[in-house]
Amino acid sequence: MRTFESINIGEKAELVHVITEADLDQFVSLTGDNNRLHTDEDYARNTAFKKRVIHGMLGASFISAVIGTKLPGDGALWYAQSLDFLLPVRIGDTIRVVAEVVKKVSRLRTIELRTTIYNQDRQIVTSGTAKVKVVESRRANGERTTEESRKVALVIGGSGGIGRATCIQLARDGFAVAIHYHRNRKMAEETLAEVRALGQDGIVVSGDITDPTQVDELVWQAQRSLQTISVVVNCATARIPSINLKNLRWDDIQRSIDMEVRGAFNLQKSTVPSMEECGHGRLIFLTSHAIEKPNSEWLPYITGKSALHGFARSLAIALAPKGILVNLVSPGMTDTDLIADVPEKARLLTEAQTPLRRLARPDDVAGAISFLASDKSRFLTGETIRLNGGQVMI
Amino acid sequence: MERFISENYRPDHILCSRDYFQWLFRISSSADRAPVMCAWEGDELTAILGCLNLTMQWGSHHQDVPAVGLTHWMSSKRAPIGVGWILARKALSCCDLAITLNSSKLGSPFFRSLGWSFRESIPRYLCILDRQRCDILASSTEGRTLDRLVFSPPHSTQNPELIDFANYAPRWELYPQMLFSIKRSSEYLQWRYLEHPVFTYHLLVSGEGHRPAVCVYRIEQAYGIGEGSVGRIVEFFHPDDENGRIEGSMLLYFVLKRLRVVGCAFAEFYCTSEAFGQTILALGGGVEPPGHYVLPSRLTPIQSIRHDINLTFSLPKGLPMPTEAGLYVTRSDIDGDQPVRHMQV
Amino acid sequence: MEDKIRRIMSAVFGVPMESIDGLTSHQTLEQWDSLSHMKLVTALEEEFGVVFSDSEILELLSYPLVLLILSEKTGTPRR
Repeated sequence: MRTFESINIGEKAELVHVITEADLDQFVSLTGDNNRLHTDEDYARNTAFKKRVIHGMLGASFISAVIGTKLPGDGALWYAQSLDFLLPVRIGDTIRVVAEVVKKVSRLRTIELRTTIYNQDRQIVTSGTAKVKVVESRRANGERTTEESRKVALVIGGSGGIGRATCIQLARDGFAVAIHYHRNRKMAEETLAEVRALGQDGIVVSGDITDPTQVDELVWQAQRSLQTISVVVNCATARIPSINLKNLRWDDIQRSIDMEVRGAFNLQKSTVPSMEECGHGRLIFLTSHAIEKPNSEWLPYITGKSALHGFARSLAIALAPKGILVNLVSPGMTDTDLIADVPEKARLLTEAQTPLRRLARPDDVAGAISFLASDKSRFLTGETIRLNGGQVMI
Repeated sequence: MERFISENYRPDHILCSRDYFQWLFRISSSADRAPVMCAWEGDELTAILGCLNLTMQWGSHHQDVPAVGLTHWMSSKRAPIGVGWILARKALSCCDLAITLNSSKLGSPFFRSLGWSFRESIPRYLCILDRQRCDILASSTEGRTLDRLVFSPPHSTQNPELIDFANYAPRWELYPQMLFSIKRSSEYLQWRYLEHPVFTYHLLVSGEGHRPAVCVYRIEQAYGIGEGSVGRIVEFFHPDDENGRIEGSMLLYFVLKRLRVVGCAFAEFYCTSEAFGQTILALGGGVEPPGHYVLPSRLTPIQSIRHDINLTFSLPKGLPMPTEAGLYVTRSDIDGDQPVRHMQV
Repeated sequence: MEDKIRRIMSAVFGVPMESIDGLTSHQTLEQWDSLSHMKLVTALEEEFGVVFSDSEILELLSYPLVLLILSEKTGTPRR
């Protein structure tokens, strides 16, 4: 079954059929149209046609087969058809029925097809226009699966440690990946190369996610290149500032909230409408283990992540009826460039206090994201997967 | 605190009783602090160590020595390693002298590693008052031992002249057997026995106010294999001279008679002091032989195995080591003689 | 310093010195319980003439951490 999104303008489908006496007899029997032009050879000889012609609608009925089985196939609701019968079709003719998409109306989820029937001499015997609504089936509980449509993921912060691992994992899972970067284009390009090496489509996009215009632009670029985004993962993060309460200013906190919540808000604003059209989608945000085990030095960061946590859970409830799931991944200290400034003692302590005795790795986080992006998490929303090696168990 | 103890030990632990907690740590019902060291991880309590303020006599009757009695050293399963030691260190920084009774299998090795003085068991003196009942309670192999512990009062023993507790004002130099002990001041006895929120203690004072003989006991109902009551003597002391010994003997005899009359199967007295233990011996009782189980010490329910009461104290800096003859510690010191469970769960 | 620490840990935990390495921690060594932790703390304090703070006592959780904390405390390079 084709989805509306997967149908492109210019796309064609056709079938070929040889008209037989039996076709004619069946049509007469079915419709009751025993007009002598079609059924009486002697009669036809005395007309301008000289020989029997088949019913125009018999030929045109094969348009139904093309629309109903090929383009768009199952789920096609063929609601309008214009026809011009240009040349007669006779028994023994080979007709080639071609339907070509000439228009798409997203709002109505309808397509317009130019329908043309050629004979064996490549003459157009019938032409017309079909209008078809693409009706997609839903599962019994109203879900759509990612497997039923093309898988496209947008990974914000795809040039960072976790982001890059996520892009590669999603590519392995069969996603086309739009890799976002803010500063490190080179790393984003390298990630793109790996995605393509895995046989998946990809594109590099850039923009400041706190700016809604830039988010709209990068989303449009991604969707134009890869089609509708079904999964958004926000791995964007900045260095965590360590600020003593005495020196803390409101701007520090505001900056964190902008980064975490405004970014998430802009992303959902830009991507949810098309997810809604598909009836499914995934929004995956990264929070932090620091929410469960706060410290005083990271107040702005923890405030931002905590706000994101609340935002995402509320959003999950709002989007659930639309089949869009919102979940969070909360990693503990992860072995990326971001912890370069973390003192060795703190890293060793974290390892020593972790039941699994090591720091998280980017591919651990990517693994959890992969699960949340897949159909396996179809009954999970508003949830947080905690990746801390057992440090916090709730 | 209640939740910590309930979750990490048992919900009916006596420390879950607010009344008992307030009494033990001598805080008012409106107090928001107690002398209990706490270790927190975020807002989760992970370990506690109770610190009772004690006034001791330690080698001198004329100078009181402050000490800390360590009680209820408890950790949750999630307590970080090392946190118990941190609490103990902090407690020890308060006073030179620390003392604890009944330390657990985990606690004892700690203290021993610190070089504290450790006594495996405080001697337990027994006096059988109802031979038949004790046969049921005792280990089946201890028949002969029981024969040697039966209350045998001398033919003529006078009743003691009991005096009002208000007159209690001992001159401690007359009690060299208590040279190393918690000071049994009237305030201490008042708090420890007369204000106890759970047990009913009977405090008897005889002789003269400045040189009394004292005996404190309670009656505990045992249940399980065999039932009945047992007399737990938790204090017994008298001046260290002829008259003092006679006074003490009369008082103890009086108590044992009373316990027999009310139907106690036996009486026990845990005490480090041989001087006071001798009095029980003279009345027919004896010491539970080391390593032997003769009669149950845990009674609710009866447990037919030996439970020793151990004693640990820090080696005080600049203070003398206690002598055997002068050390007086009984079952009720620190947090000993504690109710098993809080009845309201 | 490494050898000294490993010798102490070997004595406290009753394991061969050679087995003390970067992975040795209270999570990996069964003998590392509260009591032996306390013994380790007091032994290290005595050997190196230091007094660990409360937070340091809680941080001495693995051989690498013992090495790092003692090195910082004494100003001695780790090797």
